[in-house]
Amino acid sequence: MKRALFFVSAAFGATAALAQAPNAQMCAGCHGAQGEGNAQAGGPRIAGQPQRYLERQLEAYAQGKRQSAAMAPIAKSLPENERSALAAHFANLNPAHKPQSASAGSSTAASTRARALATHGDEAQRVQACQNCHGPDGAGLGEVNPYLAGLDAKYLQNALSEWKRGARDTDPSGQMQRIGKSLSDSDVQALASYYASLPAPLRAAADAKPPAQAATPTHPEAGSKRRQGAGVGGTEPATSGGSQGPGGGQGAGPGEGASPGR
Amino acid sequence: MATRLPETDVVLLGVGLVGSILGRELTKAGLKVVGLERGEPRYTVPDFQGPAMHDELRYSVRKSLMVDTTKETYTFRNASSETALPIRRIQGFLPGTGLGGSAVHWNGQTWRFHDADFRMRSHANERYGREFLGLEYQFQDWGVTYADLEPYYDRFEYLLGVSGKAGNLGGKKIPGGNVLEEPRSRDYPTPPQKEPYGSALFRKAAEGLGYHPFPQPSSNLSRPYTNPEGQTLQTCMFCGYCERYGCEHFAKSSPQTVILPVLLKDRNFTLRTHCQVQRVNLDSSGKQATGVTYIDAKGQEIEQPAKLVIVGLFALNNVRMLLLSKIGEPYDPASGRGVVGRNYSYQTTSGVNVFFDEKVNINPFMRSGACGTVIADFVSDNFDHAKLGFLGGAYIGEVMSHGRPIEFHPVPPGTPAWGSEWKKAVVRSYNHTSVLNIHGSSITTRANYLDLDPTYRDAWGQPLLRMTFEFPENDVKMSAFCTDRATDIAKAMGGRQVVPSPRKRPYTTTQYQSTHNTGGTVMGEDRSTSVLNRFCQSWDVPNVFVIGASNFPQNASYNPTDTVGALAYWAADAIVKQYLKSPGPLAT
Repeated sequence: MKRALFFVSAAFGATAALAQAPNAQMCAGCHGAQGEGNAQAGGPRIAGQPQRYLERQLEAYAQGKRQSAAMAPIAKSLPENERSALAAHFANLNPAHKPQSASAGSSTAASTRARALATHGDEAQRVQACQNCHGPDGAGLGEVNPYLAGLDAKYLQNALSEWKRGARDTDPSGQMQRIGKSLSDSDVQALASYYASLPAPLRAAADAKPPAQAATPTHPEAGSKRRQGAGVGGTEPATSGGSQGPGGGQGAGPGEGASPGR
Repeated sequence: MATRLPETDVVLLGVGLVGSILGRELTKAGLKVVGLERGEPRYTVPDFQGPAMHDELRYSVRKSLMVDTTKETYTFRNASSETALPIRRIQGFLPGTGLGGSAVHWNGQTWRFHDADFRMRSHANERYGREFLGLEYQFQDWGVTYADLEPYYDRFEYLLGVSGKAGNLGGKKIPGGNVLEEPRSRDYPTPPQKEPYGSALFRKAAEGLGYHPFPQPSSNLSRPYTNPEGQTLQTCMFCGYCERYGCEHFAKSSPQTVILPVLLKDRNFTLRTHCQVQRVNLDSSGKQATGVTYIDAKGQEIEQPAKLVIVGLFALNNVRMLLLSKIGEPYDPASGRGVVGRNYSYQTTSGVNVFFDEKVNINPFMRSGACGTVIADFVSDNFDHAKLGFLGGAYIGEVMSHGRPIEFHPVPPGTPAWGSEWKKAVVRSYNHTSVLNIHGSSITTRANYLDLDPTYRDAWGQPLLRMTFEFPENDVKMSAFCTDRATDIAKAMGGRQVVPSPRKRPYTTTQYQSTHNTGGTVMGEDRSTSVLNRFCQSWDVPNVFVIGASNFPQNASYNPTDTVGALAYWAADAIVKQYLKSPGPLAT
């Protein structure tokens, strides 16, 4: 919801955030003035990544959960409020993006394989689709799962390799560590090349839609005639937990027991 | 004219939880096993992957993983005096279909029953006297005890990797676990899942009232786990799409994640999907099964001869299969004679809604199917029933499994059912409401039973199963009592409004309550009141074994899956160690 507010105007948002993040210039050398990334310097695009994700990465560099000779001292030097300000600043930037063409070494077979991993996964390796958490087309999902689309191929390859060799400890579920280990070197390369070739998501467009809860209660909503939920009639709160049923569990929707005649 | 295939050692009816376990145990014993599944083959990849798997309209509302009622369903009535009608839309309970069966779309609540549940008749007689309840109640002993099944519970839970905290390790009580549970031989394979905020509020309130809260045992895993079959499960992501869905993350225990990959590689095992079994065939004596007849995907009738037949379908379908195959005497409620279809029971569930102020954020979307905190103080015979006039009980817990947008919009009573006032109330309540679940037992009566419908047939021309069920007086009393106890806890949780809904009559199949249909092929030691002996073997046709919740003589407070899994290993062990050495009845 916060992010939606920032997007009143991208330009205004950027200026406002920059004012709160005086250290942003320090990042520009590797990540670009607008967070667009700098492949030569090895800095990935960070513009438009979720604020919470960026905060968590800075925290991880500071704590050694994620390793980088360049980032560790920087992250350690920043107090928490400045890390947050920087994260907010870059989360709200939206510079133009030109996807990398699939790199010279990548074959059609590799790209087919990468697309299969991204959208379906691999049953034999017990690897689920990347898009479960990183969103369709690698556009990111929620506050902690970063977008992958349009990131530099070398950065992505390096990131996956870090997961693979256990150099990263930023996923408390252990899912990414295990997925990294299950992927072959050629899978890693193919995935990196695949996501690098996709356009980075346009955060502003995605975020312009306010989340459901931000809707004003008096909104004369469209679709008021639509039936909400399965067969809810009368005043009986069938959906107030009726189908909240733990496999037989919770079944009994509160309320529905109290509605005789159904 | 049926095409007759070469004989196999074993034929499995259904390749769900039971079929997968029996398939594995019997191929390991060197037998050739054919598994017949009516639905489709399906796997975590590609069938359960997001974002398609989170299509709530498709899976929750249209119930894409459930039985196709345009082909087969059940008929239902509340009493013998009524005419049963077919259930055209699956709502009240959720029989799955397809490889892995209902263990694909379950929530993962994994409970052991109490010894008092297995010995319900003798235990009640000992504690409360023979005349405690009326003669219409037909509850009885299982023929097995908790001690018999403990090693098999243990084995099944280590197959699944259940996340929980023991409260009774070999008699030693451990605070924070379920101190009222029966003794376990060792702790759970993985630690409990994280406790959601609403569950924490429940725990504090329950502790304050002197109860013993603990984390619900969950088969959505708290951390990666490799089971004895070499299958590795992953950590649950709390996405809130468990029941009615497959898990995209390899984090929910299901046949696909715990055992099928090994079984499907076994050369002794053959999986055939889209096979609609019509009946188990018997020889002219009617005392020996010769195999099964099924219709394949092309509509051809196929006969699969087999030396041993394992019926491991959804509970209701186990009963129907025996009736269609004329195995065992059908139950007649008028005379009280017969056993197949006798002692059908269900699950008596109810709820309490706790509406909080808007400063309390429950975040109902951040849940797993089985995370949450519960108490067992009113389960089974953990409390004195002498002055209460009923038997059985319920666990009470804050075990919300999701906050999915189509299904979950709690509103306080008095709110209009649609329109802008309703929407305002949903916005106000959605993130500030906890639902307490009262998951109660179901006793068996003379009047509740299953038989073949005289009128309605399935797409293959076979009679549908007819269900006759109403909540027994005993269970209505139990629900009122246990819902009151839950209401006390709810009030102590600090909400601004508490709305209890004890279970009342009539039972209806048009609203989801529970998938736990039990009984109808009951196990026991007395063949006049059971279909199966204590090893899940047919009294009448000893080369037929039936395994499922249909074996329960009555239903306990807890969810059935753990007990079904334990019975599967228990029966498999009896087959391998006893039956194969000397095929014939294992009990007299």
